[in-house]
Amino acid sequence: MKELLKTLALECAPSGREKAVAKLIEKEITPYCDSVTYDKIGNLIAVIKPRKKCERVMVCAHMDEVGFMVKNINNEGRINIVLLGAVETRTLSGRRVRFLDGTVGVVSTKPIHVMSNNEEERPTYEDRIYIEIGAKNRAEAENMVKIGDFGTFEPKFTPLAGETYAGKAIGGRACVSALISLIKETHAAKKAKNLQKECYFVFSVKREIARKLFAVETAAFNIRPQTALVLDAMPVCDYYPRDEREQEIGAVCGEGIVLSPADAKTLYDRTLFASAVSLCEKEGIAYQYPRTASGEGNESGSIHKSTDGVRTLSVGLPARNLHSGAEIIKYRDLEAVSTFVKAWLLSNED
Amino acid sequence: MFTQLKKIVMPMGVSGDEGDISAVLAAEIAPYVDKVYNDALGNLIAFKKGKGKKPKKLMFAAHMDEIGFMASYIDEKGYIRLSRLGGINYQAAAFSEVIFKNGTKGVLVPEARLMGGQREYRPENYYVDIGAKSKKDAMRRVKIGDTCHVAPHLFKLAGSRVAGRPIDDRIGCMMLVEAAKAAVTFENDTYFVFTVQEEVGVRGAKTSAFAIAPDYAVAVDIGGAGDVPACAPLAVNLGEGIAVKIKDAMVICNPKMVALMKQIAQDAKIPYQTEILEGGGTDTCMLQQAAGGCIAGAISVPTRYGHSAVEVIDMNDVAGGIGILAGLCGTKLD
Repeated sequence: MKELLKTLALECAPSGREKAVAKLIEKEITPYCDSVTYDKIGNLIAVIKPRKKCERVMVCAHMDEVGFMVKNINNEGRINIVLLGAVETRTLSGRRVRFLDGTVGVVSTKPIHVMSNNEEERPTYEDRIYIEIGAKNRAEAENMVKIGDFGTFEPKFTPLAGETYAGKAIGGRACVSALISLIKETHAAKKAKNLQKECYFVFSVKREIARKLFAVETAAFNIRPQTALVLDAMPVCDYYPRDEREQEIGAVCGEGIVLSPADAKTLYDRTLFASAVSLCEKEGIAYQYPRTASGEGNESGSIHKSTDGVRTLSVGLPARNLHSGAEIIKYRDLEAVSTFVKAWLLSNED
Repeated sequence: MFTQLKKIVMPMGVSGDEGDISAVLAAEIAPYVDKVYNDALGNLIAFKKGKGKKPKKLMFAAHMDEIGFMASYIDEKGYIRLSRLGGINYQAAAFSEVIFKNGTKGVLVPEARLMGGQREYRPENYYVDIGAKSKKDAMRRVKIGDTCHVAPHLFKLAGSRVAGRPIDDRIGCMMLVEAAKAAVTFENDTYFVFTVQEEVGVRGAKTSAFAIAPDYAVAVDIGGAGDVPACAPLAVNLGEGIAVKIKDAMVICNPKMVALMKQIAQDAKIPYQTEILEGGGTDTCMLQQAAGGCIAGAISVPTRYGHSAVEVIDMNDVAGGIGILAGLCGTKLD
């Protein structure tokens, strides 16, 4: 899974332009699936099911990441952008970025030396930043970049000590790698005639630009699962020393999967939530709860309300610096996610 | 009717955790319908087949969930922090007895520093004291994700008025049950739906209406009252009749449904008012949009002090509302 994680993390897939990652996933999973298709909005849907009819389950992880789009090129050859998703704007200045065709640039803004105290405290807003690509004027810039082009943070995969990994979009891609690994296990279970669920695996698009209406809803609408499991990175607030302000910390990196009873968008199915907690206890999988039950939420918000309702559970991978150029995860948390989803989907006890 | 309402007010049913109230309502309505079942999110659906050939589908919706809280963190001393479910008025909820689903009782209080002059009623500044001696002690009694609510109660005021909580929207639930009981005939395929998760964003109405795909739909919920001191202008007075909704912040009711309900009221000599709410919304907005869309409207019980522990209504308004619902059951829709 480590190699796969690295490969996935080095690809770029800003919301709306997920092809590079989708192709990679498609290649990786096709040998293991009954079918691999795309729906009209771009969600990648893989199916593995046994011969007989049984419970229909959907497991999903999004493949897109935050990024930007070119909205204007000015006379000085600088690139004005709109951000795609909730980009960590406080750390944008000086970041290297890459357009999908490979052109590299650097995010620039007013120097900190001439900012007023007031400005220093403020994040870097879209209207005050631009991308420098080195062009001397508009004509030269237009040869390299066009209005409507997409880009992301420059990909880089950095192993730190203690099996800690840093890189852009690594939280989301780690969930994708767990889902791919789950597909392989599901295939093995089917071969061993142990598969007792109709499994639909969805790699969704455009998650990061959605506030309320997630693109994955079209997949949920077509699949009409009875049960859904949503994998996503979970922002953690563990920068305080542990003994201070413990109440504000909640989940931390390195201490296991995050099981949410509720968030602002979803009240998770109570039975699924309780059985997820028992499953962790039984299998010795490290788990923790989020800081509040009113956190921001994820694609579950659309899935559980789709069609006539879907019983939904969410599993979070704790991640730091989400939506920045260097998100951080602990590999043991990813292993916990992976172990959990396999036990959850493939164990045939009730 | 007070005794019947009390039976429906007392069971717990915080958003997302409506099992208890669902069981009570299922037992109440079962004798008057053909079929009662729950869907994936927990909506309780009671179905009564209509007479004649190809009857239209009529859906009534009243939400059975109530505003409340979820335990989200237990500290070293055993105090419990909460996340809110629905539009909690913390000023109104402070210094109250709260009850968890398993019966554990506690008191909801603000942090001591807030008790002086400074008042910032923010959810994170409140906690529940269940009297636990330690974190371990507390965790034996309450688990993360458990729901609790401000203790329910119901009592009579002067005349036909009652006060208590959660009248929002157990009064609507009772009206659905009473309408099923009172209806002389069912001219349409009629669905009495007790929805879930209305208070956190009209969620249950979306999925239940998708499955039913009604031709006509009516939500029953509490509304506002414009007859209390220093309130915003609203032409609705307690005791002057059930309110037929024209619009709220999330829906403009179908004029056909508004006219139909007014007509039924006039024919049966039921006093009614019309409601134009500037804030807030009900299940109506989801009913209108669900599946292919339908002709939707709502009736509102004029209510004072909504979302507090002392919501006040007039039972005469309620009786009129039941009359309109029963009248709809007996009207052949086309």
